[in-house]
Amino acid sequence: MTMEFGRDKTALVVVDMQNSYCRAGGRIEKLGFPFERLAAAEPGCIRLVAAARKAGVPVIYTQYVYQPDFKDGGFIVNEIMPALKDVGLCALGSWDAEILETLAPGPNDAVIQKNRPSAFYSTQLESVLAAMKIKNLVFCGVTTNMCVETTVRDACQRDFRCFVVSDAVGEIDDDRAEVALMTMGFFFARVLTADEVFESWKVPLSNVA
Amino acid sequence: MTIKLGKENCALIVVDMQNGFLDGKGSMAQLGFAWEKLAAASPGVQRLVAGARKAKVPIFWTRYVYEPDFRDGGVQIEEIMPMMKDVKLCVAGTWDAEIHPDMKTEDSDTIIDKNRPSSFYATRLESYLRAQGIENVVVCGVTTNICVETTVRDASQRDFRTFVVRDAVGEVDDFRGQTALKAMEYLFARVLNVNEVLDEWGVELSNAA
Repeated sequence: MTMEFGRDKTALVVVDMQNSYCRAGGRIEKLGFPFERLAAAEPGCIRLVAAARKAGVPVIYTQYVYQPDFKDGGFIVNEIMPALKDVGLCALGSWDAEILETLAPGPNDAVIQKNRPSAFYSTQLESVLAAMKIKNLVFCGVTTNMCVETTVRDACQRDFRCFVVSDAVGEIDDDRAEVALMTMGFFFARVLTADEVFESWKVPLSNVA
Repeated sequence: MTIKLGKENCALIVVDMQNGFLDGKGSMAQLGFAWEKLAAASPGVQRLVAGARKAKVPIFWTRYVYEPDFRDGGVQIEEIMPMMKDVKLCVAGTWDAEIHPDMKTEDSDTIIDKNRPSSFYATRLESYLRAQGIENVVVCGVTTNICVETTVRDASQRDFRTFVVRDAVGEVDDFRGQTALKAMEYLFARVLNVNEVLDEWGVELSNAA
């Protein structure tokens, strides 16, 4: 049985497509991670956003943002990966924290700021989705195994029907990327391609190619 | 980097060590999953439980429990894995949902029922932990990649200092099991083994334990 969806009651969620993760000079590059592997999600995200606009599907952006002094960093920043603090990852108000220019949110798009991997934890996301009567969530962005997967686990547990676009997500390690898609497909989501999303939304490929 | 773990303000969370997951006649076995790989977590969990009793570390047992008609099953049961309904996985009041007898629970332990992978979502766990001043959580049980990992991601985001015990967890698929530990260690938890936990708690078990 395949879980199906259309335009109705559906939103596109673009996870953490920020300069920090996807651009040379971003903090992820400074940490020595191959940011190109995250930037590889960008073309797919751009096509999905274009298709969503054509289909009238709302687009929701998440943005990882820390206080400049990281007083909201907690266990993850202070004990697990202190290097995030050392380089000032996604500090509030910085270029690093900004969403990519190529994916800049429109004036009516919801932008959900968060300081934890899940876009549901301590954010407005769930109330925004409830108010909009959204039931289906299509996910793209970075990183597949961290913020995308944590958000998808949370969304599915909250009974949103989740769809993860395998050619519009990015991760820095191959094994974690592979297992992340396997795990989400196992118990939290349907994993599919951007072309399958366009088909479900009845948006001609020529319009988003 | 070493992250210290003492027995003060510490709790042991034992995830879903139930007949349905651990027994050859349980619902996971009926679904064709390698239940022996889940049962393999049992000796490590029993040693951790014995150690926690000696160190007077409070023990929380989570149980996956569904209503008999699965009206609380939601997307995961209805759309992603409907066969769980067919085998009546962990239905309230059945042998399948009971904690495995090898686990030797005691009346002073806390049992947390849940119907989603995370032990935090829509349960009372967080209030119990906060009320008791718990800051550090040691997590073990099954399955590594699904309920253990979802619980660990949630604990860590809530700023519990989170520890996962690699020889007291189990997963039906080795690649998912190993990569789940890698993902947790990457951003959510410190991964250690049973002996390291017992050392940190300052307890020694006799060979028989």
